[in-house]
Amino acid sequence: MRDEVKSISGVSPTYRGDAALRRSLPEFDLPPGAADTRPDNVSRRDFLRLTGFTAASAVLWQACARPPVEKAIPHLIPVEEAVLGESTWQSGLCGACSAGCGLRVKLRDGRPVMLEGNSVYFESNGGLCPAGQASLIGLYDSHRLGMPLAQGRPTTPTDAKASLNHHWTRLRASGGGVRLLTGDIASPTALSLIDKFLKSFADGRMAQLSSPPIADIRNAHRRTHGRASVPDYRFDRAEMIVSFGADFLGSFLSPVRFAADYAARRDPDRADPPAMSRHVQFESLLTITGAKADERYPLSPDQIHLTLLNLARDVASLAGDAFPLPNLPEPPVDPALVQRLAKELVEYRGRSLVLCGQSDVSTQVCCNYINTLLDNYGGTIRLREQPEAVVVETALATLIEEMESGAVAALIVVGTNPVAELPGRDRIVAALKKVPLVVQIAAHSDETTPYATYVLPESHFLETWSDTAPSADTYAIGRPAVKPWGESHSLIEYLSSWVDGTGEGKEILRRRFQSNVLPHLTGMLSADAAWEDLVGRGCVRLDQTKVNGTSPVFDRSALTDLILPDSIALAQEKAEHFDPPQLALYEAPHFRGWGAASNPYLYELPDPISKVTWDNVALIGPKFATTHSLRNGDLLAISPAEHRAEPIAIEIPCFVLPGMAEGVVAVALHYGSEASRRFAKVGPQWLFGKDSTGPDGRVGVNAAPLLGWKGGDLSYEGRRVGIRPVGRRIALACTQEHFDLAERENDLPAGTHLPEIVISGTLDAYRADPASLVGHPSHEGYDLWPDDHPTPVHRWGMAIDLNKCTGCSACIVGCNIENNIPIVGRDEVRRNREMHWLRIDRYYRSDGRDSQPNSPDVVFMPVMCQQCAHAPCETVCPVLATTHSSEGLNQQTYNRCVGTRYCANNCPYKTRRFNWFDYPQMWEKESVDESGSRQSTERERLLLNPDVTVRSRGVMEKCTFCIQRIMDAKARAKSAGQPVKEGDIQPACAGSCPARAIVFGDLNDPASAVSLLWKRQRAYHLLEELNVRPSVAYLAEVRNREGGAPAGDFHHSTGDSHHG
Amino acid sequence: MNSRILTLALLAALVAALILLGERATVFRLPGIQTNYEPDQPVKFSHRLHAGEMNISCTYCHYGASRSRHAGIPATSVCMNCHRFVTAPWGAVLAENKAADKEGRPPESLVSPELKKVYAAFGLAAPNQPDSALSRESIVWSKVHNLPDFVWFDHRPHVAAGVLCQTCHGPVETMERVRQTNRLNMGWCVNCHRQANVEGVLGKTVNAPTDCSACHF
Repeated sequence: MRDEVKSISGVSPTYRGDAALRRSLPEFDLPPGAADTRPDNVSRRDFLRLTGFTAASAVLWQACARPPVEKAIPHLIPVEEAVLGESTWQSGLCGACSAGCGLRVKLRDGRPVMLEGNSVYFESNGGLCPAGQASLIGLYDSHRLGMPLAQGRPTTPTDAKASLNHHWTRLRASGGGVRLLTGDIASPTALSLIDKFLKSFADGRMAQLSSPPIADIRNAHRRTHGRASVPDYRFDRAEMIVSFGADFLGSFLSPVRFAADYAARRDPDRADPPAMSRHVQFESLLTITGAKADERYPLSPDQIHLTLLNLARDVASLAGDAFPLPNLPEPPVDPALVQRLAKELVEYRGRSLVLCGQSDVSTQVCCNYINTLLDNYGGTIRLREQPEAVVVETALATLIEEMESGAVAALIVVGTNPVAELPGRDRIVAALKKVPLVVQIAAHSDETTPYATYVLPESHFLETWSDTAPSADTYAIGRPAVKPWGESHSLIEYLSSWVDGTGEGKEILRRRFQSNVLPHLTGMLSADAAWEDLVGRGCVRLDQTKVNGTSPVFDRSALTDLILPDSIALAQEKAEHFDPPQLALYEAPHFRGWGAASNPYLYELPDPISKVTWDNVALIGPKFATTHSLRNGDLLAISPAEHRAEPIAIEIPCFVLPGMAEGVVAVALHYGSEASRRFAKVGPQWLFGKDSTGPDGRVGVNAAPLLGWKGGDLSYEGRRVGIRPVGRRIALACTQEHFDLAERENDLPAGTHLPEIVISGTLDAYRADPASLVGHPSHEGYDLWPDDHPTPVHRWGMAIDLNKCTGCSACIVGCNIENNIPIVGRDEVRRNREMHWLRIDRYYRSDGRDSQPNSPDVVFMPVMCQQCAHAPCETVCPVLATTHSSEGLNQQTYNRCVGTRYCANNCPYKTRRFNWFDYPQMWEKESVDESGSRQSTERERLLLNPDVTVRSRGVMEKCTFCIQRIMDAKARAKSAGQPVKEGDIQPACAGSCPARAIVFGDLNDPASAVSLLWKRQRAYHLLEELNVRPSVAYLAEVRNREGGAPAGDFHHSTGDSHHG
Repeated sequence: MNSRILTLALLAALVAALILLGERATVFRLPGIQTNYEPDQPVKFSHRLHAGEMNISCTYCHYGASRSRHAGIPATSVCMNCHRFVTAPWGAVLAENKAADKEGRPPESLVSPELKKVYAAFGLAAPNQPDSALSRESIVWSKVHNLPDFVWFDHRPHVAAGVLCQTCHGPVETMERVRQTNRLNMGWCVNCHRQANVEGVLGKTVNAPTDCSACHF
């Protein structure tokens, strides 16, 4: 048998000729004729020969191919500061909102690639909010205006300037009304230039469309202290904070600085009593500030108003002052609670802080009254210096009436978008059309642009000189990092060119510095040296003794403004009976400021409380949802309850949140803009992919039509609205259910007690017995893992203080920008594929220990790769793409990864992210706008960090503890011949956090900050029972609650009333 | 298909391939390895003359090596530091002077053809002689030592440890045209790291990382 098949020759005569390839053994041979191999039928040998040759020739061709030629193009004359491959840092001033936080800008080849807070800057303490960090992309926005537009067509800057100056001359002569409509302006230089400009006309006034409740705070202080300015709040000096609807950690005034100051007082381990501050919050919707509060009471806006009045009366009686409103109705909360708070506040006289976030002047006046009674002015509240220029102002409502009556000859709009942000769009448009000259200064075309005669391009804050007065006694300057794009200029440059023709930002600021700031500086050298010092550091402290001004006294006549809420009955009613509900419109903490509408990072960032991305939602409470049979995503039509001639309604999906005041519906502002249309195709374009925009082509819904007017300004809360389910449901891209760590007891024997994911306690219990808070599971028996990961030199670790974390999500944005994390779009987020390496889990605690039965505790926990010493992911990678380094890090080698995804499967913390598509293609995409013209997104690629790989499809990625920063610091230390010092390395998340909740360092150094935090009694590891030895320790949360019970179990409850 | 015909066809193709690629046989290497890569450069800069004969320090021109990840090719103004004055080889200048003496005329100022390219990058015909026909444009060099994009190589620790440039780049001071002498593949780097951890570098102990994340992140 064998001989017969071994060789072709010598076959027995029963077989066919030797030309045929033998495909089978003789006994299986087919009948004669059937074994003929047909011409197109390739035998196995042939196939192997072909394959082998192709492979060999491929290797030959590849090997003998010319190597890829890379070019190196040096400068002709090198830039001294910019060495190729090195980053330089310079100080700057953030302009994403009016808070004016200090910045450090990281420049690479002269190009800003990262923004971080400036720790030299007194006020922001080194952090930066999500909107501020994400605003970097606005610099590279390919949709920015580069040239001025006249009547919708591009024109040259000289023409525009000449025409405008001609207009101003004409108006100065004719005396027509000139109005300036701005957003919040915090720059003293801008205000003085505005003043000069408007005073050059016979009738020049300014109106401001402020973020809530800035306008009302200013007006209230004008009433009570004669100074129309927002005061400086010092949370670091406050032992007791009572906030009535002010989301000071999220979107109230200056959340970065407030979070820094507030968090500094939330450390229960501080030795000197009373170490930890007390925080009581009354609010309508669940905000991150309410989440951090020691006591939280959900109330409707009217109820908040009434409670504030009652508190004022109680404080007045304790302080021996006569409260002007007699026969005040009972508050909607237990009166004993209000009295207790009044007593506590008086006890902390001068060291307490009462805040109000309502957009109502009379409530703000009441709040000022309470603070005056408590002697807080001068301590925790400091009024700013009287500005040298008091600009003549007009109320918003008055401005619109003047426009309608034809009294306005020229309107300049800057930093705001009135057509989109004011209620009654038709009315606003008609009013705009009546103004013969409308000048808009903006970076993008927006809803107002079609009605503007001239559109002047505005520079990004990184391209211009700017200044601000961040607190009562500091002055800060921001300098440009790059040249302005196209022919754009800043507001002060435009104003200056209209006032006296001169115009470089630097000169303008320098002149003002000379005259207004220099006299207030102490011990300073020459004017030049002082200027250089200011510009280099960014911020300087003024000597208050040199300020010539008396401290203003509370004007008691303002108390006549105190009024009762519109409907006492409703203010006292039980919330469940609320019908129709009240609307609260608010600024989300991550979606604030100008330019948020064009920022894809902020769309994809999960809302800190609801964790919804790419949409705004109508927040409703669980009882309301049950009563009306609503579930997450049900579309609601919201319209004002009062009878209207033309119906206004917005259709918006609802979202159920515990902790909402029942009878309140809350909607975030600034969504639903035209600018969001460009993000329709932002995700991967595949067969089942969907657009990131809603059915009307925009992201979210514009809630501005529901704004109300009160006293000449906008009113953001309290309006009664009718809610009607539309009958349709939208699938929301909500990340709160993704990467769920809970439900661990399922597979364990009954009665097994696992440590909590978020350990929480009260201050009293913690003080009584610190060790009782955190129980560490003992790992008895043997350890499966050999000790084969020595860390001889460094061992990198992190400590996250859950007491300080406010959930603001600045760390997530910082991480995204530093690590080139792609934006995947709404549909991919719905499929659990968001690529954020760092997520903040938000848990509700609902075991009856809460402040109020309907107000659960909310806790935040940032989770990133824990860099486990016994990493479950490392053992299962078939190609060893993830291994352990000699410095304690779990390293991900992208070029080795083949995309098995077993590592993500094994990770107990679910921190690994997979590139299901070539997501970074977004950076290469071209988009087609309505006119059909293609817009290349090339420019946005300049945002990419050159120190970090851009990952392609099929590769797993995860937090690396910013290994690129670690390697850079080590290389620099080696160059200098020094060891790496504490503080040399700061990952992006730690650098962004305004509250300094994340601390990074070397665990091998017993004196490093992170080592000391690991030794604290509050320190524990997440999922410690798994014995994976993470390199991240969390510090348990402790609340300063009176008579607290020890920590108990919790639920990871969703917003739905049933677990979804 | 006829097996014999296929075999003959393949053999013929192989022979043709070898003939076509024959002239590149000198550059045969495995994929990604570029040893002996010696590209033509736009300006025939001679390291043998400058680094060898004149003994100019490597980091005089490649100043990035101790300051950043990339050593970098120097900015053209670095060349002009000397070549503002030196426009032609010394020998040629001497010869021209002698000839000019003999003929009783002022000596011509000579500009060597390679230096003309350097001056042209600045829009000059000769130092202090702008030429409006020329535009200022950087010189586009061909990078010789190329690592793949997934490798993050940093010069600073190597320079700080005292590793000689020649260890990795070969005897550049003997090269008229720069040639990659070493393989520069990962195994080659890791071997040296392992050795250095044991033996040290120039007598100093070093901590040369062998973690993946040292170069891949």
